[in-house]
Amino acid sequence: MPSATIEVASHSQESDACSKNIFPEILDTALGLALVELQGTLHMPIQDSLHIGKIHIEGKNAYLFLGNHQRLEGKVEDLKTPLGILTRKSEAETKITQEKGASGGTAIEIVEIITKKIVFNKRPEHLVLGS
Amino acid sequence: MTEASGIPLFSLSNKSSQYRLIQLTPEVQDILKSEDERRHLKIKSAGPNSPVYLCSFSKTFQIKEVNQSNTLLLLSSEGAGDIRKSGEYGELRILTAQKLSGGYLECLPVQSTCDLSFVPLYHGSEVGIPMENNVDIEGFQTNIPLSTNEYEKAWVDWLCVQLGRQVFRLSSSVVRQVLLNIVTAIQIEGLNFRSLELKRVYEAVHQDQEEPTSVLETVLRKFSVHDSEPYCLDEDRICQWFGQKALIEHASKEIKLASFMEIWHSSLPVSLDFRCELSQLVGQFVQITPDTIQHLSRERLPKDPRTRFEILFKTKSMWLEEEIIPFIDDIEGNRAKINNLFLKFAKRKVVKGVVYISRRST
Repeated sequence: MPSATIEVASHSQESDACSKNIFPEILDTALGLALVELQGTLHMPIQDSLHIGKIHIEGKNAYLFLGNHQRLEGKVEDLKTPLGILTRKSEAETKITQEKGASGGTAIEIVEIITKKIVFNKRPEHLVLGS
Repeated sequence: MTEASGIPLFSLSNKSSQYRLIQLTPEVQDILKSEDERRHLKIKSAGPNSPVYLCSFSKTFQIKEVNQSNTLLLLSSEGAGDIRKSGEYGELRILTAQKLSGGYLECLPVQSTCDLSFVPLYHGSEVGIPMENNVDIEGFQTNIPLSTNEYEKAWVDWLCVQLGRQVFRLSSSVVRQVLLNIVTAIQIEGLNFRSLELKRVYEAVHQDQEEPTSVLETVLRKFSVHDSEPYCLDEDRICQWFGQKALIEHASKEIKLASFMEIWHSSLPVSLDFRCELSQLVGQFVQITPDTIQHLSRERLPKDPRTRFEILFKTKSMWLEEEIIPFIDDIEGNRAKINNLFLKFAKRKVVKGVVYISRRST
């Protein structure tokens, strides 16, 4: 019967966190993680590092530009129940956790707790070059 | 607002890092805020197709996946450094977007119980430690899907004992013999029944039996009001346990009530004055007629209410309301909901002020 320990990340390296966090304060994220919810299916590229668009957040309004021809309009909303973002620690990090006295197998970490999401639930607008 | 003012977004596949979302209800948030609860926080599962549980110090939650049709993306600066190094975006702020698979995980509080019948039985020092189907203590402690508190309770309820590196359950014969030895030793040595130290009990009992301290400790914890020293033995708990054993061993078929009471009373340590009352065995027997009873354990009845009522009415066609409630109040604890169960699966009749429950006519 396998088990995994769970830890909550402490934001001890706050200077690093601040430099990574380029979101406005309204998103209330310490580590610069933001959740986007799109009504519909988004076909993401398989490869890493391909340019897919741009995002712009202005107050509670948000705009997502996909490719060159689509714009979605959305809003920053409160989550009814906060969400924890879980990730598995690497083998080296798990070993450190076990050396500190934790038993069990893999170590899982809640890296951040988010209370907001950016929701895009309207139909995309088609952009014409030059607009 | 124009596209020019937006932050560039780049793809980040799931290969780089995997994130999952977990819903943090107020109960789960309280656990994350408490250091004691957090220190014991684990996810446990029997295997890929088995339920998954989140266990803290005092609570257990079942984790279920909630799928949704909307697309979820996690935006972050992860991987942005490599993209800037490629040259095109220089010092501009950029973000990566990772599509999250599945929906999110929800945590449902459960009153978790665990069937430990897979743990092998220990039949005493004369038989010795079994060599087959052994359960290792470390794996057992780590992987049982119970909170730490529930684990401790299950350990005592199931009469578990650690011998060497293995875990066993004490057989009824060992419990009987050890308990009798303890009670006898208490009387001979003049120990205080209500305040017992394990070491003192071991010294008193050791002359007559060879069981290790861990066996004595399990028996003391099982029949004591307190879970730790000084142990305060409780006659009612002892009486109840012997009664349950008498039901299992002698009342699998209908038995005269008077005979059962005699068997029960004679199985108890003679040196103590026990009060044997049927009320101590509620939920463990059914009174078929005014003079006869039969063993029926609520724990072994199915959880599905329809099937449970079928079995209850097969055992006895008409029940007094107060008689049947102990066999269904684990499904619904609330009285109003119990009445709903009666409405749905049974027939309720009042005769001269007495409420009877019988099978619902089809």
